[in-house]
Amino acid sequence: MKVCEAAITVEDVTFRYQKRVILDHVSLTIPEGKISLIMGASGSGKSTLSHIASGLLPEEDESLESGEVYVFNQNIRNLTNNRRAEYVTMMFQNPDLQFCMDTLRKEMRFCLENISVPKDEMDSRIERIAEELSVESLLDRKLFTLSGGEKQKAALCCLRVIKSRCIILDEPFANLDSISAMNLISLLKDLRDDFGMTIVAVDHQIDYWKDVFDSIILLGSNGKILSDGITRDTLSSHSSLFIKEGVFFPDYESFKQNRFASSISNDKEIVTLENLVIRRGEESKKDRRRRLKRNKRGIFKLDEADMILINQKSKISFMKGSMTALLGRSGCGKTTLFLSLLKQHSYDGTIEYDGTDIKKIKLKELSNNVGIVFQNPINQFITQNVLEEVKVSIKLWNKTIDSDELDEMALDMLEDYGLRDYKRQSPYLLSQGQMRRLAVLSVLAGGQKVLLLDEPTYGQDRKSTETIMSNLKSKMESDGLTVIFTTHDRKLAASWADSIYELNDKSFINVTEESEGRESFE
Amino acid sequence: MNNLRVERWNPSVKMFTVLLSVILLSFQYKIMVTLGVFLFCLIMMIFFSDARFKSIIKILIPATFAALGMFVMGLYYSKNNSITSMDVSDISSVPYALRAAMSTNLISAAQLGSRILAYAGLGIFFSLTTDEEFFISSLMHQCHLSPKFAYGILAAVHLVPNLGKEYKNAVFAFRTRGIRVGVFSLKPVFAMLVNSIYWSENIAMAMQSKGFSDNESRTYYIEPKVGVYDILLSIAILSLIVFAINSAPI
Ligand SMILES: Nc1ncnc2c1ncn2[C@@H]1O[C@H](COP(=O)(O)OP(=O)(O)OP(=O)(O)O)[C@@H](O)[C@H]1O
Ligand SMILES: [Mg+2]
Repeated sequence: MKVCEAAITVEDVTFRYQKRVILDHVSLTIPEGKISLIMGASGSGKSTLSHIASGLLPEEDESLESGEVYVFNQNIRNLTNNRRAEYVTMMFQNPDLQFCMDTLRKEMRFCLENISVPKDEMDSRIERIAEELSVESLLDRKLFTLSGGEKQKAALCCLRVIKSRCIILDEPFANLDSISAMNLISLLKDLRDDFGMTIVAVDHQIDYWKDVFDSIILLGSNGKILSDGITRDTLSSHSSLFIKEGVFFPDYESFKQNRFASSISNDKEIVTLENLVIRRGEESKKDRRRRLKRNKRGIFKLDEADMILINQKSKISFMKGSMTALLGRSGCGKTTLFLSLLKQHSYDGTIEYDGTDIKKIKLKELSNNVGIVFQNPINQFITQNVLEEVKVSIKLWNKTIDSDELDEMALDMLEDYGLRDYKRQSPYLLSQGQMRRLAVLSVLAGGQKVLLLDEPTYGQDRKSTETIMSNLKSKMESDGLTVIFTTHDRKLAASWADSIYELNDKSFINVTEESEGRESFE
Repeated sequence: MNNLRVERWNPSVKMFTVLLSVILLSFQYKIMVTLGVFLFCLIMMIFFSDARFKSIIKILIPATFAALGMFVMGLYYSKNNSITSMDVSDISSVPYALRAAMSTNLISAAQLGSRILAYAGLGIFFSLTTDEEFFISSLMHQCHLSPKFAYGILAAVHLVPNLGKEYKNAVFAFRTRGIRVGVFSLKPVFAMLVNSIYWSENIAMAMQSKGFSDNESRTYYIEPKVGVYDILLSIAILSLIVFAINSAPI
């Protein structure tokens, strides 16, 4: 096989969505057989660039405003989808939106059909890849029942089975805990070392990659290449550039000082959990009885212990005006706990809000006091326009506000979150990071006393992370807001939260003290 | 034994057979034929398919109610509906002509009712004995449905189980933001639709990324073919119906 120097060459590409220029004369070369990392502020065009580099944009009836893209020395425009897939495929930012079949086995068949692999070879090829990535047990499970990490692995299987020479991953660690993320990294490393695969990854944090990456490309606004080919050796000399762009830089302690800045306003408990048992899925009482009966007859193997996500004996209190971080492996039940707190998921035991059992509080009243930001921001939006989304919340809580004032207030908030320029845009057309910021903002604009935030800073650059967290902090100080958030980022938890709990072996352990010393990713 | 399952009957041929049967039935009124078709469907499902008895019953119950409803309606509201208001306890005093009229009423009611049963039977038969993926593959191979549509439909079919959850999510999103949602409110439905559009665009892109293209050649893991037996079964069933229509007394 002829050795190519460049896996992907982007030459002077200009791309716009409607009137907005997203990429402005961008040129870039991705070397073959290496792990390249693309970094940059949220909204700088990283996802757009990766879509263009993998031939998914511009769409069929459109064309680039200028420039060309070459994969392994072939113009990507001249390749049909199935030929192109052998050179480059992409794994998307949202793991829920990449499968069209219901099981991994079928999805892999679909991939093989696309590239015209003869029917007789399909099964053996699928088995081989499944063994290679040790996902045999996932092959026939329904995809929507897989955990985030398993879905990402499944997506990787599809790319492997196509035998693409280059894969582009857009924030592959979406909602993964550190263990799953490290697994994925070592898989990727093997793919590079054993098969000479070219790997391009978009990520906001270097931490996971720091031992495996070959070079970093830093993107500025409009996809401007600020620095190309930063290696592990030259990384430290670029720190000021990273910081200026608002991008995370390893070991850069910017928000350290914020810890304990807020004094808990009083020692009043606002939310307490006691003797809490939460089960997996939306299991109704009737279902449970039926399942237990089947268990006795030995038909159904899943036992009671497997169904329990959280079994919290001792009492946990969340103090009024404090910030609490919840850590724990992906799929361990943090989101489900939030749903239970809002009476959306059944539980045994007691949950109290402000001294009253929430079972006795009407849902409407409860949600006037407790707000939630979902893990997936798409589920959150209730209007078709960024500005409107914020205004709806403000208006509900300040009935008397006049419309000029309302506009101004909303625009100020958007400005803070770097979304002012997008005020007329549909929330669905924002970048992933922007979407999540809007979701947080739209809830923060309301007046609830307790906020539950599910991974509020995932996929954010450093600057936005700081904005979100410090906004929360200042609202805690001014209005006595109580914040409970989940995260996989220990560093974040350690530098912002007043107390930290880790969900381990089905119950919460207070790890606030431990986190003090080792504020690093593990 | 496995060879005798109607699941293996080519779905496109099966579909045309069912459609033709429906058309044939709609041109005739014989109770024996309609009931016969219904029974035939039941027998096929119970003895020659893997359809679960429970699911058959589950759909049959509402169908039976519909049929009964039709029957009662036919009995009371047909052309000479004056009869229905008469005092039945005094039946011996009813003149012969009236009783005759009532019996035609009974027959036409039975015709209406049994026809509903036959249609329901055919529908259940098709849906419970056809695997949707096999069906769509067959549409691609036998009816030249374009792969773009076929895989689009498949992806949508796989979405269906999540729709209820999506709807609940949407309602919940409004509630937690403090906005009231009534039972018949369209707001969450609208939000759900917008979500599905977003979803479909993303899936389409993911499919393209995996090398899917509409007009390039591809191979198929499942490749339904039409064999002699598929056609023979179809011909046999249709001629049986035609024969029954011609020879059944009522
Ligand atoms: N479909 C679309 N229509 C219009 N504008 C879009 C669309 N998708 C993205 N944009 C805009 O293009 C810009 C770049 O988006 P992109 O998704 O590439 O950002 P990103 O660098 O990946 O950001 P993030 O880190 O938040 O994922 C953003 O300003 C976004 O609002
Ligand atoms: Mg992105």
